[in-house]
Amino acid sequence: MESRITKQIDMCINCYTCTSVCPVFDAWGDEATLTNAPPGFLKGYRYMEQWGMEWNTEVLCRALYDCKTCGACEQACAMSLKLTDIVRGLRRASVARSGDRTSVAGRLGEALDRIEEHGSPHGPSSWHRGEWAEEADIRVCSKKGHAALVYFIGCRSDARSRRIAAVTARLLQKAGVDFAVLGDAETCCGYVPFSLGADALFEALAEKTRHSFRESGVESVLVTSPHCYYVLKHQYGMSKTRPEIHHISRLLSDLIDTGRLPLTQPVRKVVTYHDPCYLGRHSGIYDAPRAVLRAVPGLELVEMEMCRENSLCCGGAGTEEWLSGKLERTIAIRRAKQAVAVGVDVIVTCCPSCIRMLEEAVDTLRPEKRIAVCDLVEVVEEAL
Amino acid sequence: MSARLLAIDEGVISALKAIVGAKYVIDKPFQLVGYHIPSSSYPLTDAKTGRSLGPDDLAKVLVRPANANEISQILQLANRVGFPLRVRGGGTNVLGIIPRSDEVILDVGRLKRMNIQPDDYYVEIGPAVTPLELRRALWPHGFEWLNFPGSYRTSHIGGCISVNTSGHGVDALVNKPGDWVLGLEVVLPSGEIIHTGSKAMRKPAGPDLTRLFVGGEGLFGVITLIRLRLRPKLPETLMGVAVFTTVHDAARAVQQIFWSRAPYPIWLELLDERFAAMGFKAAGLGDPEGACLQIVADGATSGEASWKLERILEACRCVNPKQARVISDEAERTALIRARELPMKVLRKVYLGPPLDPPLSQLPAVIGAIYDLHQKITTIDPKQVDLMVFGHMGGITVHAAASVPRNVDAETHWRLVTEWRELVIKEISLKYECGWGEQGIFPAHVSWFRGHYGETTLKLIGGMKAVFDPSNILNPLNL
Repeated sequence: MESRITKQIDMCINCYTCTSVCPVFDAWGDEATLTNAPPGFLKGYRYMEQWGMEWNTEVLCRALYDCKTCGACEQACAMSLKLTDIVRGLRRASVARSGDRTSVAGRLGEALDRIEEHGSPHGPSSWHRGEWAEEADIRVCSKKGHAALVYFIGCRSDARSRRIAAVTARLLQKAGVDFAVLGDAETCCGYVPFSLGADALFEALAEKTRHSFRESGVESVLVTSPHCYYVLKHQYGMSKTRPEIHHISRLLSDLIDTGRLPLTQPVRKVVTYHDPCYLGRHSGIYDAPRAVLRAVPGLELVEMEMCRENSLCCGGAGTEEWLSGKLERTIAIRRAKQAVAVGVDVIVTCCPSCIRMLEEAVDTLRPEKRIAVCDLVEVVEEAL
Repeated sequence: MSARLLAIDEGVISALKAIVGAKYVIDKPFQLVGYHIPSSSYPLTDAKTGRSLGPDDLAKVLVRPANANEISQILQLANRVGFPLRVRGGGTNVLGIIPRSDEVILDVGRLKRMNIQPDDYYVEIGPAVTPLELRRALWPHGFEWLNFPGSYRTSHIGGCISVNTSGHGVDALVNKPGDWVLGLEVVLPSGEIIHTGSKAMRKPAGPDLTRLFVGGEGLFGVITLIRLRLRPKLPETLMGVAVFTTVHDAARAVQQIFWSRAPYPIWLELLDERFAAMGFKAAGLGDPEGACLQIVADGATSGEASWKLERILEACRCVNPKQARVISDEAERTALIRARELPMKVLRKVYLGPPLDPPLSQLPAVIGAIYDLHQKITTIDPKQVDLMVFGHMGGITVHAAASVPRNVDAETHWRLVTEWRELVIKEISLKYECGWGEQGIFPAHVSWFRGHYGETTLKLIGGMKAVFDPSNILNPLNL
């Protein structure tokens, strides 16, 4: 594994284009050194390993977990290097070398302990999705049953995430979509262990979810979180077999286009769409959320300075619960300033991590004109 | 003229920390390695010998000053103690020299201030401002900076000025970057701070030391502030493309553009048949089946830009192109620009070769000579080396780019690059009296300097260095 990483690193030509787009490097500001961006820390690792010197240094660990795997570097790389794969590979190697993931990965390592113990990185506070479904009058898949469409809710159980799940369910019901949820059979998708390079745990979670899909005869899976969407769609090895994985933005776009979800109430607001990294750069979904917003009567959609493939990360990376410090807040504030600059009322996105980071950033900035941060489904519900 | 070359010890590191603050001094090998690798696909090898470097070859410390005053103190310390300094900018040099173990790396990356004075038509910038940052800052004021290299996102303007490199600029229109420099702030090797030039639009008469530091390649001082004259941005641009059966026809079209007295474009790039095929295919445009000229003209109105472009395309039509047309579709324009950038991604290990700036009349002959030279490669079988010609025809610079096979080891890689560089210099650059308009000259290309200007001139440069830097502490290996 490590020599494979070294071969990849050797393809780098030190053009530093990745550095120029790295939100972490930018957030370091005046204190940024080369090791705050891929060329520096990757070359550090590569030559320390070659020279038989200790590479698993505090500097490398800091760089590896500062990295948001947002993919901006990959997008810009002159050599098309898979830099986020390299970072994940090095995280894996780093944990393996130290033998203690908590000492290397800090609080993110604790998240893995929680998954092993409770089935969720959020630990025992994660919600009982079966109970929630019952209360919301949503059908739960039965074993050995059949479900055309399963809504994969995700682990987050904070009030905002529960609200987004409830709104999503109401939209589906309103459009007459026949769907169910896995209920208590739904487990963590494995994004956090995947991101950390904890392959065995990721694979165990993936197999558990695949098993639930098989047991329930699921044909299609609907996902709202970009991180869940990314691993289910691209890392579960199900691309050529059922179930098909769909993101809510594409389904909403189809439902609106076909008249099943008529948007009639004007929403007289200026909004901008923030592309979540794992939905945009990592999954290529840029148009569907914008198509949904353009279908909302009265709504004016404007773009921020950095959008679509060149979008700026919010600093969350789906791991903000464990890794959220000054650096992450600086990135989020930079993004929020871009929204302020185009004079919007609302920042719309499709990611719970982005919502949390951007809401905090807007609170910190306190712009003259109040800016709300909303999920796409919330805007659609307002327009019904 | 030799530095005393004392070892960098804890005392030096403490003194550097006292000047700039501890967090701006780096002394861990893990962090230092990245600062030793130039922008190329080279493994970490000695540029002169090809020897693989080890941890003992790394500089022991890197210091990141914030301003001229701190740099002055560092240079005074270097003179007192007797250690040499290696100045580092954006690190995007193609064949720069690697810092030596007895040197302190002086990273000017924190010098990024910018002061735009639109009423006086100048901007003052720290050397670490990138061309992209400068352009973005100038656009709202109605100004443009058109002298930029391919590494415009990451290279420092301080480096561009220090080397006086044109990159992709159309020199006929915008001259060299140094021509826009109105004045400089420079820290001399002694630590004294001097200011050159003026804030007036007209450059000073009489002796002006500005031109000594522009293109001085760090021999005579550390540039800490650059004052640039501004140029209004023309709001409209229009792109055109011309495809020719062969690259030789494309070269003749370039001659026709100038000889017909057509207006100057702001972008004029040549792609030979192979380069164009790779780039166009990668950009989803399909093989143009020929060599290509990409042209961008600007104007105060779309009509002016259109008139300029049409005149240039008319000149191209004199050599019977397969097509010569205006690009009106924005998506096609974007794809064409990508077609110019993508072959580098596809080829991965490519050595650009020394820049060849022939007199206009010699352009087709020089391009022909590049292909003939291919057969003289002896390091490996020439058939293993893909050769491509592309370049910036507003310069005029031609690149004789040679690909390095992926499976060769580090030493063979180094030998191939070195052989190709010296072959191109000896057999083409010197023979056809080519200039050297981009990349640095010293020390990797000293053979060209000696051949082109002669030994006396080289010695004179050495003498000038000794006047400014008698202890030879500033970039001693640059000469």
